[in-house]
Amino acid sequence: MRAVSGYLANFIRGSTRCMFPIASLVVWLLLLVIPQGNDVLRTALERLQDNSVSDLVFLGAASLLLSLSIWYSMRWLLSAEMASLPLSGPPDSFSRIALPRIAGAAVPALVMVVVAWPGNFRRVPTTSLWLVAGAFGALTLALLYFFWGRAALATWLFGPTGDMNGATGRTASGAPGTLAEGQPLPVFTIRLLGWTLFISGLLAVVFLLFGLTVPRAVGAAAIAALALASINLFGSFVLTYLPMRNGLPPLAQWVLLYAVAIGAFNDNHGPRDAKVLTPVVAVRTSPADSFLSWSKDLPDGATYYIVAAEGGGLRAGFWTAAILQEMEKQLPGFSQRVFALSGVSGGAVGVAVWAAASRERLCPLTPAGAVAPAPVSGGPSATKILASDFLAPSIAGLFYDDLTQRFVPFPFAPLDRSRGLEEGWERAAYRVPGRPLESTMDGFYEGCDRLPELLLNSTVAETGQRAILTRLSTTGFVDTYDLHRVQLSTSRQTVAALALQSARFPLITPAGSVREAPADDQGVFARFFAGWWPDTKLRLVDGGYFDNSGIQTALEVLTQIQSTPKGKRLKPVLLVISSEAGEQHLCGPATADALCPLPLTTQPQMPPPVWRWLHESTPPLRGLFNVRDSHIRILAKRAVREFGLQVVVLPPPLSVDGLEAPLGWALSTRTREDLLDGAPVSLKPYAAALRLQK
Amino acid sequence: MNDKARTPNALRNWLSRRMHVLLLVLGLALLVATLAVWTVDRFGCRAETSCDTLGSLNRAADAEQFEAVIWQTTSEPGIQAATPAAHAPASATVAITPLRWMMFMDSMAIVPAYLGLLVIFLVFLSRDAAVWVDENRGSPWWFVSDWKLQLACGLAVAAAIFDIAENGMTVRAAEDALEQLLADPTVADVHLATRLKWTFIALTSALLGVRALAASRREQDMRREAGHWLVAGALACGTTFLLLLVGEYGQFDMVRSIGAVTFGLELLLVGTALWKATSADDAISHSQEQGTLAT
Repeated sequence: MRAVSGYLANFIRGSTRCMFPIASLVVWLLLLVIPQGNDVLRTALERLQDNSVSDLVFLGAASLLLSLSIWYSMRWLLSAEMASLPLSGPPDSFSRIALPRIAGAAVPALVMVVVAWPGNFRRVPTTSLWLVAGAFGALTLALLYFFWGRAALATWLFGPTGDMNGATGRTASGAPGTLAEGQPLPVFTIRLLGWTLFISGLLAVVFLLFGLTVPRAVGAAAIAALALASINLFGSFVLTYLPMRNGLPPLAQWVLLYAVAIGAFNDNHGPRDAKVLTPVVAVRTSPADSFLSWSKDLPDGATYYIVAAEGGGLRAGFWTAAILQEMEKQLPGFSQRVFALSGVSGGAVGVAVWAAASRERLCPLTPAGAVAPAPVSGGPSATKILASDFLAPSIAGLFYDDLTQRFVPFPFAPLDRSRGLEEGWERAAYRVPGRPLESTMDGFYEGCDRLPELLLNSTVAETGQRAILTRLSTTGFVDTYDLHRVQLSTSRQTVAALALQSARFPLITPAGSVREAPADDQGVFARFFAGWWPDTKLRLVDGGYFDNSGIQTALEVLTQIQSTPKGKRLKPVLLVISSEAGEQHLCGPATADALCPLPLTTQPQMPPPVWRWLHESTPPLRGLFNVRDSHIRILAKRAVREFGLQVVVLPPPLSVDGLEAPLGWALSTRTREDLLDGAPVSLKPYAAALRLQK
Repeated sequence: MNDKARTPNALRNWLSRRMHVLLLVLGLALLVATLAVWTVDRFGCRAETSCDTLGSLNRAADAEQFEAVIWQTTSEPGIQAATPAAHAPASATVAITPLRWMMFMDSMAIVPAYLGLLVIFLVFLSRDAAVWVDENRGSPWWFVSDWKLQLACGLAVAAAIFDIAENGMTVRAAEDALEQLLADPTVADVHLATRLKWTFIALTSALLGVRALAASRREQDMRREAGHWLVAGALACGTTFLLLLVGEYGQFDMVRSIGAVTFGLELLLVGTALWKATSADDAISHSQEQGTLAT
C-alpha cells in the first residue's frame, strides 16, 4: 500500500513538474488525430505525387525540434532536485531517465502511427505511406539512439575526457541531478534557452511579415510543432524549473492571470478598413423593393432561387461553391435567377466567394472610355479560390502573433490572427476581375445591381441577436441587429471581412469587435488612444450560434417578397446547402410535385452514441451544440409547411471511405475532389423538377 | 579573463581541431550544390533556349511577369501560346519539378553550407584570431565578447531563415501561378524575403570583414597575409550582397551572383587555411601579452 501511495505521489509530483511537456505532447496527439489534422497529413502525402517533399521535410524538422524540446525539458524537470516538489528515488533512476526519452521519441512516432494506421489514408498510394511512415520511424529510432547512446557518441567524437558542458548530462559539471539548489543553470542550457527565444522571435517576425505566404509553405502541422517546441521550453524552464528551484510554485497561472488582467488594453481584433471606401447608400431598399427592381424582366411563373448555405468551415464553403457552380453548369443563366444568398459561417464564405467569382459573368467590367464591355477573362472559379490552404496562416497567427499579443498591453492590429482568413480569401480571389472581395458591401454592388443580394449572418455576443450583414434594409427582419450603418466600422470593411464576421470558428478565429467608424480627420494622439482604449460597441461571434442554416433569414426574405403582387406570381425555390453529410433524412425522395416531400422526420435516422464519460458536464454542452441541427430541421419543415416552397436540401457526400469532409479551414485535394464529384450526384434527384440539362 | 570563455569545452576544442575538415566539407558542399543548381537552372527548364529561371523570377516585378516566367519555363518547347491555359502541361504542378529541386537543394545544401561557413568564420575570427577580449576590461568596440559573438551568429541564422522562407514562398508562388491564383502581394513577399536575406548576409559579411581586418592588423608576416585573404573574401561577399540588396540585382544573373558569393567564401577558406597553417605559438604569446584569449 505504501509503495502504491509512493508511486501515486511521484506520479502527481512528476506530472506537475512536467505539465508543459505533457500538455505539448497531448496537444500534438490531438492535432494529429482530429479529422482536420488527418486531412493536413493527407495533403502532405498527396503533394508527394507532385514531387513536392517540402511539407514532409518541414514536418520532420519540426517534429525533431519538438521531440528534443520535450526530452530536454522533461529530463531537467524530472532529474533536478526541487525541495518544494521532491521526487522519491535517485535522480538517475530508470523512470526519471527513461520517461523523458520515451516522451521525446513519441513525437515522430505518433506521426508514424497515424500515417501507417490501417484505413486512415485509403486512397494514398501504399508506397508513399510506407515511405513516410518509414522515414518517421527511422527518425524515432535515431532519436532513441541519441537519447540512450549520446554519451558513447560524445566519447567517440570528443574522446574519453569529453565534456559538452552539460549538453550530455553524463558529467558532473552539468547534469541536472547533480546541481545543488541555488546553483545556476549551465551555460549550455542558458544558451539553448536564449537561442530558443531568439529563433521563436525570428519565426514570429517571419510569420508577421509574411503571414499568408510562409505559413502555406511550411504547413499547419509543422507550424504547430515548432510553436509547441518553443512554448514548452519557455514554460518548462522559465515558468516551472527556475521558480521551483527557488522555492516557488510554477508560475504558469500567474502568467495567465497577467494576460487576463491586461486583456482590456490589448484587443487587436478590431476592424480593418477597405482600401477603397465606397460611400454607404443613405436610403436602403427593403428586400421586397429590391426584388421588384431585380425581377422586373422575369415573366410570370418564372422560377427564382433563394439560397441558404449552412455553416461548417471550409467544408461548407467549398461545398456551397461546388453546388452553385454545378447549378450554373447544368442550368445556364442560374446565377441571374438567384435573388438572395443567405449564408452562415463557412456557408457565408462560400456564397460571398461565389458571388464575387460570378460578378464578371453578370456585369463584365467595362474599361473607361470603351464602347463595348471587356471580354470575359474568366478569372478563377469559386472552388479554385477556396482550394487554398487557409488553415496554416490561421495556426501561425494563433500560435505566434496573437499569443505574443496576449502578453503585450498595447494592441497591434497586424498581430490579429483573423488576418489569416480575411486577407487569405482576398488574396486567393486577387485575380477575380475588379477584386470584388476587397470592396465594401456597397462597393461590391456598385454598377452591378444584378448580383444576388448577400445576407451574411452573424451573432451579437452581448445580446444573442442575429446580425445580418447586407446592404438591404433589415427593418423587416425580426429582432435583428443592423450592422450596415454609416456609424459602424462594418460599413467600411471588405466583403471578405464581413464574411469573416459570420465565420468566427471558435479558437481559430476570435470574436470580431465592431466599433464606431473613425472620423477621417482624427489626429495621431486620438488615433493611438482609440486603438488602446477603443469604443467597442459589440462583439460578433459565429452566425451558427443563432441559426447555422441561414434558412431563418432566407424565409424572412421570402415572406417579404411574397407580400408583393409580383412575388406571388413567381415561383420560388429554396436551395438549402447543408454541410452535414447526415442530413439526407430532412426530405423524402423528390417527386415532380414536391422536391422535399413531407413529413420531414423530426429525429435523426441514426442517433449518435451516448457518451459515458463526463456525464455531469458534457450533456448540456452537447445539447447546446446539437440544438442547432434540430433548429435546421424545424426551419426546413416550416419552409415546406407554411410557405409551400419548393425546398431542395443538398447535403455533402461522404467520401468513398465513408468519411465526412473535415471541419476546418483547409481541404486536401482528395476531399475537394469528393465534394466536386458529389455535387452532380446530389443534384440528380432534382434534375427533372429543376429542368437541369444533365 | 572571461570565465565563461575559459570554460573547458570539448565541443569547441573538437571544432578547433577538426575545423579544416569541416571547412573543406562545407566549402565543397557549397560548390557542388551551387553547380547543381546552376546546371538545373540552365538545362532543366523546358523552354527552347537555356533558362535563367531564378534570375527571371527575381526580376519579375509583379504577378503577371512572375507567371510568364513560370509558364515559359514549364511549357513544351516550340509552343508560344497567348494564354497560360492554352499550353497547360498535363500535370501542372509536376511541371515545376526543376524549380522545386533547385529550391530544395538551396534549402538543404546551400543554406546550411553557407550558414555553417559564416558561423565557423565568425567563431574562428573571434576566438582563434585573437580578438577575443575580457569583457571586464576596456577594449576597442570591434573586439568581441561572448554575447557579441552570439549576436553575430544570430545575424547569419536570420539570413538562413529568410532564405528558406524565400525558397518556400517561391515554390508556392509558382504553384499559384500555374493555377492563375498568383497575387501581386505574394510576389512582393518573395522579393521582401530576398532583400532581408541579402541584408542579413551583408551584415554578417561586414562583421567578418571588420574582424578579419582587426585580426590581420594585430599579426605579422604570413598571418597578416592570411588576414588580407580573409578581408578580401569578406569584402567580395559583402560587396556582392550589397549590390544585390540595393536593387541592382535586376541586372544580375542570380546564379552568377551565387557564384561570386561562393568565390568570396572560398577566399575566406584560403585565408583561414593560411592562418591555421602558421604556428599558433606567436599568436598565443602575443594574445597573452595583450590580455586576450586564444584557445
